[in-house]
Amino acid sequence: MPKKGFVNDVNITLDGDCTMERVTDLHALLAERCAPLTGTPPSAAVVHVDLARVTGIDACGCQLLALFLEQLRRQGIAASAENAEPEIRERVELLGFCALFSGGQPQP
Amino acid sequence: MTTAGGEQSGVDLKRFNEVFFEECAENLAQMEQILISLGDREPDQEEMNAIFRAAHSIKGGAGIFGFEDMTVVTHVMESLLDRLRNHEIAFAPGMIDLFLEAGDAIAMQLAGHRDGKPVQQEAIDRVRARLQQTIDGGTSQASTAPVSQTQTQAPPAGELPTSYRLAFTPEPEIFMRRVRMESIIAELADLAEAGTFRCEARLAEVPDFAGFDPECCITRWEFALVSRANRDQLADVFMFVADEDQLKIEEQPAERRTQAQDAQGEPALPVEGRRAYDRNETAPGAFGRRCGEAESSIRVNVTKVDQLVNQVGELLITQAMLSQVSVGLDPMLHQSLQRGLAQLERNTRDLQASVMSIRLVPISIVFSRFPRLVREIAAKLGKQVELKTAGDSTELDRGLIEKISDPLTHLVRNALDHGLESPEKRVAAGKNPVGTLQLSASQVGGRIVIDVIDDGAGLNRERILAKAAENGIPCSETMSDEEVWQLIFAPGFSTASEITDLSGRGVGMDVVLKNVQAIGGRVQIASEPGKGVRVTISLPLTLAILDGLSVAVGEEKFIVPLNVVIESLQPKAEQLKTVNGREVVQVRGEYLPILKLHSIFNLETCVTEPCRGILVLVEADGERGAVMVDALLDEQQVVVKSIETNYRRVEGSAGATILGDGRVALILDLPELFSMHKQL
Repeated sequence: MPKKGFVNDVNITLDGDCTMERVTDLHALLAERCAPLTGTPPSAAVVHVDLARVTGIDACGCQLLALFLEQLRRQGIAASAENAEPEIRERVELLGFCALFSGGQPQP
Repeated sequence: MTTAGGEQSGVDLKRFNEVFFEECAENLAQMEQILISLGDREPDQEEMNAIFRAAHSIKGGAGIFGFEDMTVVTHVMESLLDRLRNHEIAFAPGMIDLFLEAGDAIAMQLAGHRDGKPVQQEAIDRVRARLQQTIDGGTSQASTAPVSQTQTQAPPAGELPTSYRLAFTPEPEIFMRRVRMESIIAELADLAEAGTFRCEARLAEVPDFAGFDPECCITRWEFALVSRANRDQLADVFMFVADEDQLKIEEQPAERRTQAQDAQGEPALPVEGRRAYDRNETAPGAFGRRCGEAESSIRVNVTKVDQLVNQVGELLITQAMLSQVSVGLDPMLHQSLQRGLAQLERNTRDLQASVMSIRLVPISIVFSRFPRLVREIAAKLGKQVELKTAGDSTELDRGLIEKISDPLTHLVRNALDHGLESPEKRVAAGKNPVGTLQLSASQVGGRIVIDVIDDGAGLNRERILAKAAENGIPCSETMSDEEVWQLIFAPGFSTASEITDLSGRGVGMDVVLKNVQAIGGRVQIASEPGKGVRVTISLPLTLAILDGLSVAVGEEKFIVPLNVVIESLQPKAEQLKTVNGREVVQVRGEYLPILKLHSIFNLETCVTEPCRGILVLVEADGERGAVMVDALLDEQQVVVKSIETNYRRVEGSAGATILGDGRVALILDLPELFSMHKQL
């Protein structure tokens, strides 16, 4: 199960696997953070999701993170996921989520 | 929480995995079929492509569905095939056996995932190592090959790769199916020229995060790549996950052509690259079914078909009940009802025929396993054998196919082991050193007949009699040949340790007979010294429904299978005789034994004399007789129910059925009745 340590309101550190097998837990954890951040007005201007301690990721996990980040961006928050280990970064690149994680691509 | 094998709540992953399992089994079977057909010769390009595709398909599917262990052997096998195809390695006949072993290893892994059967990892590792050794050894060998050989295989100069753009819109359940998108994308990337692959994921919508189902896929993927693979090959990557409308592939045709070709207006040449293996591919089971071909069949779980068969069976019973009720109605008053019931009967019969045909499968499914078996056993025994099959397209019930497989395998093994002689002996006997083993199937009347014929030495009457006497099996010198051959079906007639002592056969033949009889079949043997043996298995067409004649004996009703009925008659006194204390009826010069059902089944009836009853003349397994009944009732289709499952085995019956009035009637097993009659 992914563990999460909140360094502060704008830094979210994920720990463990972000995969289909864990996606329900990951969703619950991120939803918990999403609500206060997306209040009116938003409680932060920038949010970083730290992937340094993520040990595995798949398309399902990537999608959830991308959706979380996009939700924040729609509230005017500059949100991104970063610091992934090379192996995780390669996987994210392979799956095509780089732009979504960095906030470089507008969504419909 | 979840395993690759798919034990997960929410979605029935087994349903999706089953598709892969079936595809994998088909690919393995196809691969084996091609390999066996090769003998020791080198596969031609088309055969090589077909083998490659089968291995590649298994690897791709295994990766996508998370059965990573199954990709190990297939990966090395694919590498070897690829090098063979490109003539980087010289073909050696031993590779055929190696590929067959690799297929066995993959089949073992498949059985492990599908049926939970044990997997011998050391066998997997061994075959993988041998494949790798062949690659390593062959590559170094091939590197010293004449330059001209390798040059001829180089892609024609001037061909250019093609630029593609792909858009993949997966179904929302793709994550729940545990499809590994990373495997699919990695496989696609593998087809791209170096540095040309681009993948971009987009969210099709941005739903409220809290209410979002995290297992639902809302991602769309777009890919850009330059590849020498053709359009179908790209589509093949998505074969397990994308229907036609979920995958769009665009190509830039201008980049496929050389400037010279453009100038001359020639069509673009088909590209040939590392994976250009399915160019002009026509082999069955090839990739691209989802994208390239119209679906002409659907996969349906067997249990669903069985359920349908059962329901149609119940419908037949209900229809029979209604027909019976309608008999007592005034036809003038109930004309419309009776017309409707007649229509219902026709429709029910048509429906039954259609449903039963769903269960029919060609016997080639069983026959196809024998080329390899024969090849391997013949090699072990140092015999030369040609296997011939006939009637491969003969269809029989799927349930029978599964149950006839083992007995047939046993018969084939026996024929090879004990029937066919060594080449030296055959030559000494003036025969072709290559023995012939023939498997043939045909539909004869209401039954399927399967023959296993060898041109070996034939059964040895003296030895069989001696062996029977030795084992305490009742026998005598006066027995006919047919009776002597039947001795080998006696339990304990022979044991494994005695195989080599007996030039005839008999090992496990009692098991063969028992298994065949269990599905309503019979086994007959014909043998001629020096000419060979013919073992004939006769099976019912289906186990589920049969056409029967209902007859009455006292208060009971019986069903006589219609396919054994010759005619019915009321005998005259002068036709009835007694021969050796047994009553017979003379019909057109032939004396037929009279089987009195009331005696056999110990029933009370007022009709005890043949001249007061009706004789139904029957023929089964080459034997004729006259079944004495009180009355003929009706001809009808009956649904066969297992009496053993619901009650216990009743000797002389092949099952039971429920009649229109709700009563249970036994279905007569005539060969067994003949044998019971002889013992009375």
